[in-house]
Amino acid sequence: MTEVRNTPIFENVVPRISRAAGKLAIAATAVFLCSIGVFPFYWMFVTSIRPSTEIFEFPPRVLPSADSVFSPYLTLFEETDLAQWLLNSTGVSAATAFFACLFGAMAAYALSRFRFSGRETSQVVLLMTQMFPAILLALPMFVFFSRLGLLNSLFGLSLAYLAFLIPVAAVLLKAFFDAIPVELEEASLIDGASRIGTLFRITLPLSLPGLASTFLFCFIISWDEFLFARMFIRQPDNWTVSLGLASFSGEFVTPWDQVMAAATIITLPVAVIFLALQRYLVRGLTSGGVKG
Amino acid sequence: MLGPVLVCIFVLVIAPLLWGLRISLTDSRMIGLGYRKGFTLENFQTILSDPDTWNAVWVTIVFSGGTVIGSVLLGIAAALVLDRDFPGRGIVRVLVILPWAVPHVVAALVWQWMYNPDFGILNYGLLLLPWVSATPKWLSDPQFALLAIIIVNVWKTYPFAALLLLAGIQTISDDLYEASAIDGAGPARRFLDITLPGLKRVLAIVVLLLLIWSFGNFVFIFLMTQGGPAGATNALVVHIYFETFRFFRAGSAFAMGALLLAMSIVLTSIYIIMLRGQDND
Repeated sequence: MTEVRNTPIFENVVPRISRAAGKLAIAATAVFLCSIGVFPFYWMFVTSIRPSTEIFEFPPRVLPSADSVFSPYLTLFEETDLAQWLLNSTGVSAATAFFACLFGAMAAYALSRFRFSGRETSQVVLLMTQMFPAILLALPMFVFFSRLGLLNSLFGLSLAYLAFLIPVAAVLLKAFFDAIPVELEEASLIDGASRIGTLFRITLPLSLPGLASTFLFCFIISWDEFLFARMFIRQPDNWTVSLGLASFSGEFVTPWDQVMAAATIITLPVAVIFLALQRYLVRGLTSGGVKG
Repeated sequence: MLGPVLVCIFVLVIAPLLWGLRISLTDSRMIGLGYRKGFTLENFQTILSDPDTWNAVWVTIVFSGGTVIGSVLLGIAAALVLDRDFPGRGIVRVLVILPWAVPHVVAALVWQWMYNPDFGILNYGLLLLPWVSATPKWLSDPQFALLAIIIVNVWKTYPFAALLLLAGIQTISDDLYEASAIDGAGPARRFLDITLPGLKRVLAIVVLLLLIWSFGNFVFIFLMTQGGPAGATNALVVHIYFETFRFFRAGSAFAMGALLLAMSIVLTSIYIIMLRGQDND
């Protein structure tokens, strides 16, 4: 780093050119990244409001059609079970997220506040459960659940999701509990409150933002999940949004306007939650998840 | 308080994994139905001598490796951009993260539509380029199908890489850059001498997580190509699924599961050892 190669002639010109080139490169990269991020969403929405006569045209029209229609959205609710799928997904995701937070919080609290033998090992076990390809769990579970009569049931699906979401919730929540000063709890204990009282009156209210974020994160994962749902749920009545949407593809002629309309509806709620959560997610992944 | 969770993990995660290994050593055909031979290594002999298995292993490695390379390169570019201070940075950040926020099934279908060989916007865009005269059929062409799916997976995963790398870049002290600027180092030199070495550990974690996640990725391949054309995208996960539900060979499906498990355990162990190392710093 100590070598100095610049001759006097280059001292002024080279840095100035390279600074301008650097700015240009940064701007170009930013534009490129933004367009690959946005374009698929744009194309999804534009396709969803295109009259079906214009969809199978080449060259495709890049701009929205002059006679844009919203009828695919109506058709979805009138002729398919989209409303039912949305209801199923909301129920499964909310229940899963709730219980993942409940059990996850118990584990996280223990890991964050108590020192006991096996604590390190427990943490490694929590972390490892996230690392296996889902299919390794899904196949044996499929067999167990079919014997227990839990296939084709949204309750069973939720139970399967808990298997991998409780550890995730525990790891994320531990980072939040770690950030709450132990002194607050000690003060409450000295004032005569019980352990449980302290947990409910001091710790839980303080970790409410963490609980809310973890709940929403688990909600998104359940909403998105496909493999377990595909294996466990066969009756269209019990389909989640992922299954319903996937069922459109593979038909002889895919009704792309309806598919993209359904995709838009399914994406909107989770994308909004996700973008609101992203800063917290990175923190969780770097401090909580990665530091175990 | 930890008790219920550990019991839960044991019943729902570890027990199924072990039971799966057990089934891989029997001659079970339909999963859940009985078997006649209680212990046999036939499944392993069968799958290890089957070229389809090795094709699946190879596809899994190419898919994961390709994803990691693409995702890390784009991720570094995005992190370097987001590290700069410029008007509108907040918006750029949100737009960069967008692909991460979309559900997997939605991403699969939107890209399938863009890849459409007859009416797809992607081929239309390619034809606008002056030097392109013929366009690939993407998902139905054995030469392009795997590349097409890697592109989708890179698109979906690179925001994660970018955010972790950005967090890494921001922990590097500004003093190092200033000292190096005084020494007359240009931007490229500074990147190679300071940024990259400073990112070594974050980069290793990103690479491992992306590898592990790509190993398990099912949705894109299952929805976009079903492992085809001609096995070109038949990764292990998809292969296992079809062995079980299309060909009813549970024993060999679980044997391949054991193979996948072994690959994941190696990667996971490296990951955990690295985290421990980080804690001890």
